[in-house]
Amino acid sequence: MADIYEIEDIDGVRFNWNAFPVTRQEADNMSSPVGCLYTPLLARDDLPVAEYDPQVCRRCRAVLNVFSQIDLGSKTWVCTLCNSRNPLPPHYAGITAENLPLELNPQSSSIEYILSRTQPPPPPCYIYVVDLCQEPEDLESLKKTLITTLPLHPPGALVGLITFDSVVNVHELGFKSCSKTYVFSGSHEYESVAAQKQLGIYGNCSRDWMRQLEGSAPVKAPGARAAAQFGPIASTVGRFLIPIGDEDSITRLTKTITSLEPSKWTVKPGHRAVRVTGAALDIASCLIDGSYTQCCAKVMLFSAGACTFGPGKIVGTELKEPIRSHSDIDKGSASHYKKAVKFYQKLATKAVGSNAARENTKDKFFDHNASSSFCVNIFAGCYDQTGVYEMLPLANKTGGVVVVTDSFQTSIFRNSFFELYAKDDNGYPFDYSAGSLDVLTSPRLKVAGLIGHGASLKADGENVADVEIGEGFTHRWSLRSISPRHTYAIFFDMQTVGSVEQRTSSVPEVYIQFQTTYRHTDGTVRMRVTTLSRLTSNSTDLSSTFDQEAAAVLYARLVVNKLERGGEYSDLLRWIDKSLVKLCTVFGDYTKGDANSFRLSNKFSLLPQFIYHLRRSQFLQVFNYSPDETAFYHHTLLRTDVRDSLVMIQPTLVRFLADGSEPEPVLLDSASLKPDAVLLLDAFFYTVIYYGRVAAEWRDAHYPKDEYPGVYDMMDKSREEAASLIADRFPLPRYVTCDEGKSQARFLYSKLNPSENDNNQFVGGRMGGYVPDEGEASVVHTEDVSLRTFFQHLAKLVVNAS
Amino acid sequence: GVPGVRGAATPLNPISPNIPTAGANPVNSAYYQQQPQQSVPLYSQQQGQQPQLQQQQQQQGQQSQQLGYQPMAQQQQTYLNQPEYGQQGPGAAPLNMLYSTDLLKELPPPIADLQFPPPPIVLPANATTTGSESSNADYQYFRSTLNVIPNTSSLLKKSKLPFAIVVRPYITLHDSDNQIPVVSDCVIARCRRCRAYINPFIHFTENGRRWRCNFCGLLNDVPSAFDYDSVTSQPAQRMERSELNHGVVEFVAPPEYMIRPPQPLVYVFVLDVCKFSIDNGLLATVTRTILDSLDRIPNKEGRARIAFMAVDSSISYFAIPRDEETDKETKMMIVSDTEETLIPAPEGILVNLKESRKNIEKLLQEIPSYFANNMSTDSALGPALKSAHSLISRIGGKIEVFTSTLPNIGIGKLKVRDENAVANKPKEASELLTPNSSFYKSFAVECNKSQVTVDMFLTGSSYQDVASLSNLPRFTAGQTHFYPAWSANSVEDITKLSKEVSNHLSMDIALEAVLRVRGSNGMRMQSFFGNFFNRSSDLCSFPSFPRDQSYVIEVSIEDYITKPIVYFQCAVLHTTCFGERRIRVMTLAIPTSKDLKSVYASADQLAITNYFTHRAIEKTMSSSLDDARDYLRKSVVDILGLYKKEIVPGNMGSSSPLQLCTNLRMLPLLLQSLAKNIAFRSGRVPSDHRAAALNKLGSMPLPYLIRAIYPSVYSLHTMPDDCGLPYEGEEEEGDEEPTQSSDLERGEIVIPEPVNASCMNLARYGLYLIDNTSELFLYVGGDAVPQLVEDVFGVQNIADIKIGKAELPELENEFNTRVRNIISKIREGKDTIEYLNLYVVVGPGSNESATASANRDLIPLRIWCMSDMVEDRATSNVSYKEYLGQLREKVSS
Ligand SMILES: [Zn+2]
Ligand SMILES: [Zn+2]
Repeated sequence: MADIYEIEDIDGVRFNWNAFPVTRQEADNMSSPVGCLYTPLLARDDLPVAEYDPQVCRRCRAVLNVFSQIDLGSKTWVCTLCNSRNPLPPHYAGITAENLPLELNPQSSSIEYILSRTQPPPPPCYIYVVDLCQEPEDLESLKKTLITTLPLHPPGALVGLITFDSVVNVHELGFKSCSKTYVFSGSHEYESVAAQKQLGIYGNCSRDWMRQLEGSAPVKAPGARAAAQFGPIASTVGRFLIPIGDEDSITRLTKTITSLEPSKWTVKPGHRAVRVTGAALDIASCLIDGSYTQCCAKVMLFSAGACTFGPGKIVGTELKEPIRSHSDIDKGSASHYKKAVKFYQKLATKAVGSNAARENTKDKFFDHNASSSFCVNIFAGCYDQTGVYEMLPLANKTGGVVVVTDSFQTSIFRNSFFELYAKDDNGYPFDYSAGSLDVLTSPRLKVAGLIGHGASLKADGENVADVEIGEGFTHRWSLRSISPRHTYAIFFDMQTVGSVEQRTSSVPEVYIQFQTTYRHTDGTVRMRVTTLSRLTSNSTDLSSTFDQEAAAVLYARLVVNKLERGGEYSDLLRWIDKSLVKLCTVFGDYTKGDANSFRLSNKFSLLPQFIYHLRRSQFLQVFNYSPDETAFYHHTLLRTDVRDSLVMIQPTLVRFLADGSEPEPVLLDSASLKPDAVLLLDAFFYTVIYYGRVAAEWRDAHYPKDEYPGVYDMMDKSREEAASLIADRFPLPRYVTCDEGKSQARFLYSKLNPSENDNNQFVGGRMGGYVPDEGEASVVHTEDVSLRTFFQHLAKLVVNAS
Repeated sequence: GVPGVRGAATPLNPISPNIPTAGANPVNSAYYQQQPQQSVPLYSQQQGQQPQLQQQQQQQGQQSQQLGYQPMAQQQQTYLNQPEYGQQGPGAAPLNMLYSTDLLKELPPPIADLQFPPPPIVLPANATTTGSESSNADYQYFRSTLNVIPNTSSLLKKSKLPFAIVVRPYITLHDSDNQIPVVSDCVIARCRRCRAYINPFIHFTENGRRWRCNFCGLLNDVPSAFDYDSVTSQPAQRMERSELNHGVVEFVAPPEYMIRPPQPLVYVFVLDVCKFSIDNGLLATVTRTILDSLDRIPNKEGRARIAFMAVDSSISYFAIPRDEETDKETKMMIVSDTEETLIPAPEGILVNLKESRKNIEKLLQEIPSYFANNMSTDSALGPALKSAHSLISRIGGKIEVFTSTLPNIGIGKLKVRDENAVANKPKEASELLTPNSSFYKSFAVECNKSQVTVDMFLTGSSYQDVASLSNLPRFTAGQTHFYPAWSANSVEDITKLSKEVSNHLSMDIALEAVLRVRGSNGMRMQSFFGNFFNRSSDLCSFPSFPRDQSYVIEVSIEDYITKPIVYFQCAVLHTTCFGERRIRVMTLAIPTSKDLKSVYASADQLAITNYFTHRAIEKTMSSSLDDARDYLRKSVVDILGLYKKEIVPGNMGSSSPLQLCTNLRMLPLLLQSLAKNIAFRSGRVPSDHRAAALNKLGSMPLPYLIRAIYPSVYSLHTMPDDCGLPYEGEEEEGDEEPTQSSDLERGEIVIPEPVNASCMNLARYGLYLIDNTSELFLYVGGDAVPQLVEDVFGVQNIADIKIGKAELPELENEFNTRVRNIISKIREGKDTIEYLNLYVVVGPGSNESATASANRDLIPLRIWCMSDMVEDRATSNVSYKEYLGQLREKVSS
């Protein structure tokens, strides 16, 4: 079996276990479901790209792949997943071992097909939803950013603009005579069709964008006027959504954006601005519903404060009412919370696509004829919370991004926003749309669910498990926005046998095929197919296939998912501890009753440390953070690959010294602090350059560079390293520079293992903070506990476990 | 003249000698040589009227010589026997004498009476403080149906005559055309008890230290400022103060009279942008007109504010930047949710006209193009009005609505009513003429409260429900202007609408006005008629005060009146459109009597007609058109019966004459003509037209009302040589008092005397101009000589005349010029915004070709024009003569 990192680079996939259990006992021993982190659109220079349609199994719709058996004699191929025999198409007749079609090439375990289409798919569609309740300089900065990005849109993209403050303004960008907007009060939710009617849109949801664009040409002849009837006037494209292809439309958009002014509605003293964010998103959804067939829009929300009025209200306008905290939500005293969540969830359902929604709801707020969908990117530019916590499903179910910054003047915002337009090698933004992921498996292997930025398309089938993990009970998910940066956790459920005796009747290996279709920004529809083969415990030793990094990240995703579904923190801690203890009990080396004898093999040795940091991380320690921050952290984790996720869980610390030595990774421990060193902490969401007391003095003394090259080298290298970390990251992390003992240094201290506490264990209680609960192997956490204490108690629990 | 008494025919207002007097008959010898003149002088008590009298007698003589009319010897005799005023003792002025007329012998009716002033108000010499001749308010402003008031309510009841006051505080559109004395020192003396304003009829007592209120008798202190001007430190002459010398005066009000600082003049233009209004050109015409009229909006202080709203199924607003904000553009914001009122932006919608002038102009030029392709046929006018109101409710102002579409969306939506089912049936009025949605009344009241006036300009070619829509102007002191089937395809239609809108916008309106009429003890203001809202028992509220309307207030007598004179005072507290708070005060003193004869002798038939018009409208709304017509008929019968029984008893029997006092002799004709008006006429009338007519009759100033009831018909082919040409002035004839004709300014176009509105008077070869205040008909007889046809119309053949809405060509001949001069003269009104369309009608000729009569438009046009011949019999209406016969039967029975 190839190295897990190589596989990751080729197929974009990391499993916690690279083999599947066969017996119930084995599955139980593994203590958490087998799952993987999969980055379908992993950017690869050497990706095989087939410019033709894939050969599809007639029975299970699996795609012909490297594992398929080809029978040249009978001109058939056998489906890897269902074992059906399929005819080879006539033009595959010339296949020889030396002349294989691309998909049968051994390097093609992941392959991309550019699908042939009789009609080009709709172009990408961007709808800005801009909050005008902000300081003039913030808005100016936002406007500048928006204008700068206009030329970055993929060719032919459609752009729409909605602004809001106390009311919602939908801009009719196609109206050339003057600035023209449709205004909604924002006081209530709109029925999709009613809102469309108010916009003068009639039945466009069943017309394609091209026909509308043709219709939007000015009608000249008076005779044609009657013929056109509501034609040009009632359409969406050319009116609210204009193609950004030519100079003229960019000029028009630039002019419109330039003319945006900060809200002029009076804000009463002692009050917040009346802000109808929810209604603005609602109207955007109605516009999209009524836009054109198969529209998949990208809604970009630029929010400068919490929604204070109408649907989706987060907080009232009176300043004496504080915005909700985690404890308000927990105690049920956040008065708008439930209503807001319900509203945004419903909107998220609408975003995923009415086809799915239609089956499940008779909701009048949906346009049941619409085939459109959208994703929501949330950019919050505000010192205070804006309600991201409640709005989260909008982004998380649709693949949108969430970027939370202090204002739209920050470079974090600007760079993160530019990142959405970052381009692939061919010059097309790799923020693609209208994706869906289908997971096919060989018999006995079932799909249990997905945790990531997708939503169930409720596709039932033979390989759908009867347990649900994340978005489950389906083998297909909608990925309204998808990019090489989107990593999904997919969980499986192996149909195990009851006893070891039945093993032989089970399978030696299983196959998994991921099919990801999406609309590329170059105007093609593509399908990325990754086909995997994995052994079972029939043919391999499970413990050797363990990937503790992937496992830690999958644990994190499971925890976050459970939290988002209303899980209790204490329950989750107990669950994760129990799970860890179980794993260690099964796979550790120890003498029963002797804690000192406890050892873990190198496949497992880092896991306790990961779990230790996970417990201390922002994902589980929510009470130090605002709900919006929590939402932001959760959101980011759910889209990130293993490597970056690990950094989130367990930040990296690198030490730079002036002695000319190479930078050295050091333990995330208070013991790593040295007065004459510079430390670089990468906690993913922020990076910290920390100067020890002496190092800071050196820096400030401005010693001559030629006499003290080591000092300068130390400082330069730390900065360079930090810059290289930040360069590629999304969203851009906060960048902190601090000195020992200064207040900003808390960013570093909070992440360090408090090893100095090891000497006063009694402060944290006899058990060092771990208290056995009802004789079970569950633990309660205190913040001060050190990794060592944690490990000691883990060992104790493991060796004493029955 | 004798001080203390003034006759109506003398120049009334020394400040404004140029007011044309309603009774002014252009006297011109040439004129009278051709024109039948049936009028006889009615009354005279003073030397001032002698010349006119003599002249009229003279004219009478001339007429009878030339035209063979029988001089009414008896009347003249009576007149000549009337005692001279000077023969009476001081303080006991004899009231007007009663002269009876046999209506049946007054045929054709003497229509010149319609232009006469009311019977003079006769007051004793010592009635006023200063002896000023203008002490009593001019009848053009303030007139009573009765210029002698019965001293008990039972006597009033017995008289069968109505007692009402006709109020018209403004008689011109612009202050510059009619300036009245202004008390500008902010000293306003009012009675402490009854709050009456000091006026020419108070008396000073206690060596001038106090004044006795002529309304309630209370003694009040005289303000020191009456005698000493603290600004100039000079003694002041109290007897020269305007309020002690003039019956119509205006006070500049001190701050106590303001509830809030004067608000700017505000206009919200609500423009219908539906397909209909695009197609018929309304939008383009109105925006063009507003654009051209921006300089005419009274705005010398630069405070006027303006907003535009466009309405179809949704409401479009325009945020207009100031001109100095050069980086900004006008934004159009559309609100389609008609369920809730939403002003889409907190500012920039209602803008200062001066500061945003260029952008406003640009917008007005562009608006039509914004909606050029609009296909919407729906109108959310109700929601738009609510929004317009909410936009300006803090300031107040005027909402100017221009629409061709029946409002059919949101609040106040209306349906087409089934006219066929109820037309000409008793239910017609209640089904078609009352508001079809309660919104229009309740919203109007709301507007009134927040000082908002609504004006309607309705130009639909299909049903618009004028009856419902007109409620908004009615209760907000606005006006409904109806332009049925208006189309910009017709130059005439464009001209009419744009001239009227432009005039309307130029009017010097007053803002935040309240009108209150006080009467002497024992008088109570009982019913109020006109376009305003009656806020409390006697306080009439006008968000803005228009210049082209008048009002009628019915008075009841509560107590036995012992005083020989009673007083009425009308005060209009208002803000001028230039931000000054003012009070216009009009005071009227009227003698009382216990003698019905005196009451009858001084009754004002025109004012009475005005009163009955309002009552008939009220009857229509509350009951039916039939009842309204019956009411008018019965009122005449009652008066004639009472006259016969009480005033001139003795002449009994079926052959007896149908008598009425001379000063009321036109009343039966007026009320019968009124019943024939499109407003009340039986038969099939489109309800929009009916409602518009009812609305118009209920608000127009009296001179226009009379002409609307009895159209003026001018015989042009026989007009005297000076008619249609500028007046050249009259040679001074010694030291004679100026005559009425001198009211005609030098250079003004001389208009011929009208002839009776009867086909009998229309010669088949003649040319006539008919003015009914709604339209002008130029009627050319079918046998007109080719020369006339060519001179006037510039065509050879009468068949080639373009009939219908048209303008006369400008031709190089004198007659053409004169005819056009007369038409222009009639159209230019200093007191009306209306611009009458001219309709050319060719009458039947003796050898009319089949093709001519086959013209589809000709016959209806003739019928329409002939409906103005109100003395004639028409479909279900009898002729005046037949009517008199019916009346005689009723009265005799
Ligand atoms: Zn298959
Ligand atoms: Zn008094």
